[in-house]
Amino acid sequence: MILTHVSRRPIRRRPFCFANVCSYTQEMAVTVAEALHGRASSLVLAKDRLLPVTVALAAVLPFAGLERGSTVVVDAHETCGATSLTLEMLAGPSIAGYWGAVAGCPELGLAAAAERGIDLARLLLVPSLGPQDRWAQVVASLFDAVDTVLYVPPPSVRPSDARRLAARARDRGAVQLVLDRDRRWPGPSDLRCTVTESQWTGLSRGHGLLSERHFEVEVSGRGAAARPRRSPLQLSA
Amino acid sequence: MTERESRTLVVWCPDWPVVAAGLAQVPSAVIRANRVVACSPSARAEGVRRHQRRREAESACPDLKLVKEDPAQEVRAFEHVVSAVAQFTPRVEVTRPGMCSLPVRGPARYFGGERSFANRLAHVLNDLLQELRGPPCRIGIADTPFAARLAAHVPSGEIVLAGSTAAWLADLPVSALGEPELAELLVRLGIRRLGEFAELDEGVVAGRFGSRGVRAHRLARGLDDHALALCEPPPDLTVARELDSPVDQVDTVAFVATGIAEELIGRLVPGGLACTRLLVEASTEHGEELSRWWRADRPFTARAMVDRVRWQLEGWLAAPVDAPSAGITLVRLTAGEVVPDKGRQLGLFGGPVEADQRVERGIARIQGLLGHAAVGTAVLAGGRGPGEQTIFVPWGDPREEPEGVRHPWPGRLPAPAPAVVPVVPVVVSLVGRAGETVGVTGRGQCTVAPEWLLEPPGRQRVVGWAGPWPADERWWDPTGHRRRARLQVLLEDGSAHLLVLEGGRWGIEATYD
Repeated sequence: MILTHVSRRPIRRRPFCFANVCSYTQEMAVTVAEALHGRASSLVLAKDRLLPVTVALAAVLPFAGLERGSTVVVDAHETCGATSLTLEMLAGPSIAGYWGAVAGCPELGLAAAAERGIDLARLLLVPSLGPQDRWAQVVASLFDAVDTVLYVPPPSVRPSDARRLAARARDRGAVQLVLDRDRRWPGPSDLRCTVTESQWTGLSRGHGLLSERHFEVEVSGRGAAARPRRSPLQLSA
Repeated sequence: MTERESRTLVVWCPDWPVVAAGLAQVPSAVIRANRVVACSPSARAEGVRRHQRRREAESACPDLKLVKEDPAQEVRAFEHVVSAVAQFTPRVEVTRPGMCSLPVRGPARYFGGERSFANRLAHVLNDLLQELRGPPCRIGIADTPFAARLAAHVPSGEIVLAGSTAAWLADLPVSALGEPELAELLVRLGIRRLGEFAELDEGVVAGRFGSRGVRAHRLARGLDDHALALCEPPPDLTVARELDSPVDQVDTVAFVATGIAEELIGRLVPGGLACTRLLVEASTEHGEELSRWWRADRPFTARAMVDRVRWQLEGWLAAPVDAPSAGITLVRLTAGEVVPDKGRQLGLFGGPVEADQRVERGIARIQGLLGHAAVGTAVLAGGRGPGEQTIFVPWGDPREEPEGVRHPWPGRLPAPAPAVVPVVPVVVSLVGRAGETVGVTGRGQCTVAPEWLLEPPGRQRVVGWAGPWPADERWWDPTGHRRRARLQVLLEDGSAHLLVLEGGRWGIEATYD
């Protein structure tokens, strides 16, 4: 199809000589390259813009990965486990060598992050997002800097800020992971992952240890995730 | 016997690491890798020696004050001495912190002879050292740097006359060469003095001892092993620009800063230097001033410097409090730390973390908004509590793993680690079936089985629990001593917590969210 497109281009008639053939061939090569370039740039599939995730999560997320530029909101409904689920999301890209950041979440257990496989040397920490008028600027700077940004929005987040940040993340190709424990993120989201059930195993009265964790995660959103889907997720220690 | 007509003066400040640490007046020692690298005169009088183990030194002198070696501080402090020497002659070469050398022929002629020059220099330096509370310096002059160094080590220093260096060296033991292996071998071969070694044929030495032997042989004969590499002392590393009319646009200031930064780089480049720490200062028409230090893990380029100026000013102008009330009239850049410019080298396998430029710029912008210590990474640390197992390191500071990370920590809970660790534990109470508070006995057992967790608004039944894990920490330290016991609990709503008992009170130390 590309070549037909090229052949439709009018060919200037010139008297035959070797130099002309050369210049014509060169011209054609440039046209083919141009056409290929145009095709290639318009043909970036969603799956080419995916950041890898851990094996456990691959079965839960619609593309088995985190789409660059997307906003993923993680929360829990009438149960707990949102933080562990977010850490699991952060782990895949970090293991693959991408940079991550955690902002506005000083209570995050970093030992747990390291256990999940997150490389602490490639995880920027901004414990406090700063004053009211600057937190969005800080998060936006993080989108410029790293590939995955996990943050807890301040309680007073405005819908306009949320929309602008989602647009900025899309523009920079960073994944915005919003840890929304209170379920009040006012902005758009491409994916919302909600822990609907969480169960620990391994601990009884006076003996044992917390060991395995069974989640049920509901994933809803846009596009391929438009129809909410519930899947089990097992995280082991 | 000299190949070239040159004379070298060596200034030696004894016990420099201790002087730089400001501890020359008390019994003290500087330690590297558990060995003494330098000690103060009073410690030496008690029997502390270089290369001693820390424990030996402490047993020799019980009130010995020990500090870790800090080469950067030593160099910084020595800069005062070097600049005082540079007042006499610009051609100073720093051998190591505590020792520098200079070619003495020119200044000696100017100051009326080597002895009078040495006296003048010693006078100036001793005044300076007295301020730093260090012992007086020693000055040695000889034909070669090696001999001058040995001459400086003679008590009160010595001036070896021109042409008699080899003769002066001849009486010294071979250990003075500073090559212990070679010296030991020479002694076993019956050669004890440098003079005896110098009499050997150079070809024979080369055949038996190789190039290191030849170098030592040249030194012993009073010849140079290398020409003194001279460099001018670093120029003034501050560049400032006054703005003719006050500027309140960041872009305009950044434009001015471009020129300043290039000028600063221009001053560093001829000396083969690069700057890793930068002081950006700005002041306004009303006299308000803002200065901040910037550090980079790679040397600053002119562009990176301008970025710092821009970010700092953006942060300042947008500040809710203390924002400047007038336009900016002065911008000043100072290179705080210079290093030899080795070019830019990216870390390969196992090397230090080199953030790519994108990450670095983003970080610098956030530092401009929130301050230097607002961004960082974490390193794993030893410790039992979930919050103690990582340490926050601001970006730009060295990311060193603390001691004891790999050691066993009895009383540490096995994986999984809790995902949420509140900054301050939430106070709760844990009671048994009859409502009595759960305690932990000296043998590490719960007094009663926990039944209810009371958190002020409500209460929840405990459906599973494990532990306790007692931790008796820093019992040797009266101020840092802590006794705690931890308990893993699972509540009826499915949430799991890590509780900690300290001083008879329970708290939620972390949550397995």
